[in-house]
Amino acid sequence: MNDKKPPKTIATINFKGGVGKTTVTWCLGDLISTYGKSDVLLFDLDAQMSLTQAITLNEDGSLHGKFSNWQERSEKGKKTIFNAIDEYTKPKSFNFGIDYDFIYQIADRYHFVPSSEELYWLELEVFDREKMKGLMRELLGKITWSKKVSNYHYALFDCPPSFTLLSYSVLAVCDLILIPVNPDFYAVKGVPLILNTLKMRIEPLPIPKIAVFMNKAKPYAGKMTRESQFYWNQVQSICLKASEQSGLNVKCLDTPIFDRVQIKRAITSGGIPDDFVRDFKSLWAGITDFLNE
Amino acid sequence: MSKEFLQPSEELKRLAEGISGLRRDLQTTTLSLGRMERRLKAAFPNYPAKKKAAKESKAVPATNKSTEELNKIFDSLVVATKEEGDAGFDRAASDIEKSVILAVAIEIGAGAASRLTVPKAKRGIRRRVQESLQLQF
Repeated sequence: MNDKKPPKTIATINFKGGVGKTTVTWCLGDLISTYGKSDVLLFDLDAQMSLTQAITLNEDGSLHGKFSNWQERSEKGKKTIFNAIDEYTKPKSFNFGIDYDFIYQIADRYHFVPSSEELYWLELEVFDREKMKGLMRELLGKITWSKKVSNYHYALFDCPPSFTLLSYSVLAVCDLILIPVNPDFYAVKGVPLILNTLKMRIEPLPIPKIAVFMNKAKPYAGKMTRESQFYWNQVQSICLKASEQSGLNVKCLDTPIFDRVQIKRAITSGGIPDDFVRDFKSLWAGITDFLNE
Repeated sequence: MSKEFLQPSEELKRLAEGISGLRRDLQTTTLSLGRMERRLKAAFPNYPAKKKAAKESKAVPATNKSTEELNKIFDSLVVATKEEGDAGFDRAASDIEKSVILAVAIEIGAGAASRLTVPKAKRGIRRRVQESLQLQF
């Protein structure tokens, strides 16, 4: 008997670009697969492919040999994320086998579904928009029951900074939505926007738990600067009102990730910088506590 | 046209010459001034005596209000602005002691203690109030 369980799913999203969605998602995946004992599957759903490029490009801009070979195999076998969507939206039943031609192995416990430039025109090419909303549920089901890939404990999604069909299909199925904010007006402005959008667009499906945390907080004497704290207070106030007025299950995680230079090269250097391990461990503890509530 | 007056091209030429002359005089004067100043400094290095910039009086006494109290005061300014606009902010802010205004501005990260004056603090708080209003759910 197959004793596989579906992975816990976490989607990182904010409509404001540059808040650190990609880096945070990658670091969390690296943390729990390297320092923990979890098998992690990471999805890049952003057509901008920032995560895919950061993982798969050498410093000089050329593709890693290992990835290059894998990509050739994946494209030849029609096993890209775009092929999966294409297959799913056809009128017949969803016939898409899951194996390591669809999933790229970054490390033993850290696996990856890269993005594709074709996702840019996905919105134009998909005719059955309603059906698209169920894509990720079906795909995760196939991943869970496939005997050819690992038993993933967590699936992490790096979502685009907009409400696309693909992000909808993730947000409608995930266990937790993770919203990174920065200590600036425009990043915080994204919070009420996304909370309202979730309320309006996801219902009547159940809205997942939503966790918000401060990313790139400015540090001062081991704490946030007062300016960062001001914006964090604003976020907390927004989330409190969202809980009271809309019944959203929102939690503000008091585990900031501080703004330091090393984080910029976290992905390309292949490992979460030592200085950040403690902060990300605290963030992860907050996430799992909330997930298990 | 009467020959008594200059043609426009002649007028232009005369003006240009005038400007060149003035520029020459100005350059000569500046050079002379510079030379005199250098001689003066060589002879009297400490002249004129440097005055310390008069610091703005910081006679505003410190407040002993807690972070929570300061945040509540900030919230009251948000409410006043929401209800009565800028006039509401001005009215509410004028009712608050100067030391508290400074402390509120520092608490919300709208200014550094060493360089903060009451008008600067009010401007910083007003900006934060506007941001806060726009960030409401």
